[in-house]
Amino acid sequence: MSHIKKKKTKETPAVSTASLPDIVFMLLFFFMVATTMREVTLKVSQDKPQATQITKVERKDLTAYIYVGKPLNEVLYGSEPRIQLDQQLATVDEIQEWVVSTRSEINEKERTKFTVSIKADGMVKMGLIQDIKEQLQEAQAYIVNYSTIRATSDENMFEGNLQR
Amino acid sequence: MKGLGYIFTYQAKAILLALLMCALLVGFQLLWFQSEKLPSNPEKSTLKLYQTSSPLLIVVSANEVVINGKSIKNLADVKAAVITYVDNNGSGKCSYCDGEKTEEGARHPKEARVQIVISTGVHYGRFASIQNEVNAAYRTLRENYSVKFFNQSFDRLDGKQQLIVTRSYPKAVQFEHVEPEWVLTSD
Repeated sequence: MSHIKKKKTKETPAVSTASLPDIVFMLLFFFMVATTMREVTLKVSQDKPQATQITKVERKDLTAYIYVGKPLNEVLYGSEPRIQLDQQLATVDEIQEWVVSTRSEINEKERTKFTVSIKADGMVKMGLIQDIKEQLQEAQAYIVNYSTIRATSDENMFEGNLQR
Repeated sequence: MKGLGYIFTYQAKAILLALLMCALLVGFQLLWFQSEKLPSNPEKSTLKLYQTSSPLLIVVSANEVVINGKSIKNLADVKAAVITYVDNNGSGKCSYCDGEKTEEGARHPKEARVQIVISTGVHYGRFASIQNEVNAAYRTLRENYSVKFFNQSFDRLDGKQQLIVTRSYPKAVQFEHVEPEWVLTSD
């Protein structure tokens, strides 16, 4: 019996778990620091027109974006140009609701400066843009700008835009 | 006498003043409404409308751009057309313009209006380049004004000076969207 008992005492002790919280916290802090806000994943094509007379958007926190273009997944959504609000495709009628909910996230003092930026593909017909503008007007979002790419020269701009 | 003395206290004066203001306001409003109800001379009012500048009409369809009835092939000509229209100085009262004082152009930059009629069938890229050219025209005019009077580029002026420049050349651009079959061509 004594022989067996001796063997038991020689068994290796269990791994100490005292450092486990350290490791967990280290991982947690690492991911907290390394994580960035996810940008919008585009579901529509964005071949924006070129322009020379452009200005930078000064307050990006007061700006909301509407993406317009052909759906990338044509099998699911068809080839007609669609609107993307935040993460999902939407119809024109949903814009008003979206504007109201987006605007309510802004500080009340600066709500009048709320800007909507239309990021539209050059191939989109003006009829759709007009519909969007009408909806924005009804939702009282009066500051609207159009997002474009900076053109290197006038000739390049006209050529690039005329190909559409 | 005690009752009369009350009138001269501060609060009473304020109330009386407020009442007087209200009465004046109502009186003026009544007068104004009455004058609006009776257009004394209809011919005179139409004449006044006629005297303001005629807008620059830019019609954009899928294959051509028409400015005041003239077809334009090169989109770069839009900028030149807007500049000659705004800087025209038809009334002769604009001290900072150097236009040709034609009949078709604007009478004064402050009266100038650019109306852009776009067919709904036009591609967005085309619209963007038209708007770009109109903006370029206004930017050029303002830049010229800044260099002429402040000896500096518009972007380097301070807020007050920029306001003077933008008020000298206020941008009045109106967009109108029409169905494709309504767009007239130059023919």
